[in-house]
Amino acid sequence: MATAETQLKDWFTDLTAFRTCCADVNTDAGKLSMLRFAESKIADLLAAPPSNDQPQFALCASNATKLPVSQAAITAAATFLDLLEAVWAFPNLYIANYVLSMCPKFAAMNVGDFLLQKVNAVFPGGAADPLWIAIDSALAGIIDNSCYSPKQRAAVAKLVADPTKQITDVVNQIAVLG
Amino acid sequence: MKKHLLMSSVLFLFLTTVCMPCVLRGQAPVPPTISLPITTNAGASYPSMRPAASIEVFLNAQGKIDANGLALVSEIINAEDHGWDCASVSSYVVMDQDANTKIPISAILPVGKESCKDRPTPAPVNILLNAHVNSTDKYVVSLTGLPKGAAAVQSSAQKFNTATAYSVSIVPQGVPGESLTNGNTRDVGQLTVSYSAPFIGNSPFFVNTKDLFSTDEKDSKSAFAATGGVEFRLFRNWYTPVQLSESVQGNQIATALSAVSNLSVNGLVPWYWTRNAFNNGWIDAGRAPEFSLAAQYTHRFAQVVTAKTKLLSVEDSSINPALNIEPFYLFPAICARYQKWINPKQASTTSRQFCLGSQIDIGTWYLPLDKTKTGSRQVEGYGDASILIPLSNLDFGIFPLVQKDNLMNSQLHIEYSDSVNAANNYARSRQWTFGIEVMK
Repeated sequence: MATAETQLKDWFTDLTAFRTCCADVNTDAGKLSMLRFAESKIADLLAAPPSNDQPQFALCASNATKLPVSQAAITAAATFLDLLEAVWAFPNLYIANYVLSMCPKFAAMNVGDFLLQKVNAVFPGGAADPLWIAIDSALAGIIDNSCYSPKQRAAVAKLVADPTKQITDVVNQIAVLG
Repeated sequence: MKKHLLMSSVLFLFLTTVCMPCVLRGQAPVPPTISLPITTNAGASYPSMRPAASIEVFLNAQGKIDANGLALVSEIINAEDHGWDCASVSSYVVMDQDANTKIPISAILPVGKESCKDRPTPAPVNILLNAHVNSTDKYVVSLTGLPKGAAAVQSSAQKFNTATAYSVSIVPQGVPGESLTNGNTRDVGQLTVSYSAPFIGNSPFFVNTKDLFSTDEKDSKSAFAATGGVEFRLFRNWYTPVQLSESVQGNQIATALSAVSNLSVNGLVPWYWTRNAFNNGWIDAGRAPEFSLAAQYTHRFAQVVTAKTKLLSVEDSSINPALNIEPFYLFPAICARYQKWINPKQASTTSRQFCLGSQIDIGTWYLPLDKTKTGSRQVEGYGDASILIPLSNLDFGIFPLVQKDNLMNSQLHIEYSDSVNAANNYARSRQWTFGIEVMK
């Protein structure tokens, strides 16, 4: 049985697998940070059929992630991030569940109600709240540094410090990646 | 006053038509339908390459935290807790909305490394259909067997991007003054027939035919061509599709008849292990080279010889291996230094736009049944080599668009090719080509 932590880790593991499979075809992908890779246009790194670039990537990515990465899905997606979101999911729900799992006071609450909580109800100390510091640090351990960069962490901390904001605002900001 | 009356009327109507029936029957109002995100997919599926029509059902709401997404995930978890089985065929109904028919399901497959029974977020599932689909009808997926009182869960109607079903086309036409093989002309009736089955059942075999039957057997357009074959892959992790096919073609009375056997395989050269050798200060080769191998054998049983056509050999065969080396760039370290010098702020981005590039294609036609004038077997090699000289960001004052690198890149392409034309008895030609390529 998966946990919120393993589900969030799996999301980024799949993105990493996409980059590895892309680098097998085009070594340029291996030189990009995870964020730059995620935002890269697929067509810039992998030529469309009749070239074998995209089918080779699809085969490799399907094997590595067990996701249905089809040629149609690749054609429909602009970036690798779009592709992962199309065949699997946006990261938002996984981030929300993970943050909830780190808040024992709200353990009995469903994620929908948790998202509507004001940030100061969850983190009374704002960005300096020990619980937030622990969550922020744990997120940095799961999410690649380029996707949860110091700049992004500062932007998230700013929301955590704003008592008018809800947890949903914090989750959406983390899910922006950057 | 008028506004007040209108509001009262609307409220009365709402109470009598929506709420009262529920109250009178002692029932709670029917919960709204929850939207179920799905993606349709038809054709060869990875990694098995087996042809299939499937629908990915996002029980995880695609990770969205909007009202519908949260309601869907909550409903799935609640349903699972009350005995509904997300991995069971009986939990889903797929309807062809246009034909109003239920599509049989052969299996529910897991998606990703997790399970649809997982918490806190169920994983999506893939519904494998046990039927052919077309690309015109719309299909709807709904969940069935949900606990009492649960909201209905149904997808929007979606089409498949490609068809797995066979297609047939029969087109009759009258043609005045059609030319005949004896040199005369005559008014004729023609029937064009085409049939294509991209897959036979769920097997990788395919058949297709394209024919033109005429009311006059000497009609020069009369033709028959039927092809059957199989497509499969050689390796689990290396995309190397192999296609083996046999075509029989001729005219409708078989005075011209031939059989053509084809074998083709292609793919990328698995070269990632060479990345250090081809990615350094001297050379920057990003993309893997592509190879292809095509073999063909033709046997002509009968030929129609006219004043305009000469007799071809009874047997022909060819084997054609080819290698396409994608553009690679020379002296990337110098290019990077140049880029840093002209624009220090962009020094971290690719310096390839300042590099001298090269591209090479090579191949061979091996003709085992043909002999050269000296009596040896015929082999015709061909190839081309290109030098790509970057123009972007160089100071071309008279070409303002060339300067604006964000709009387009451009390069001078100098190519030398030594080619053979297989359609013209392997006639050889050599040429230099110069051109300016503009790339968006």
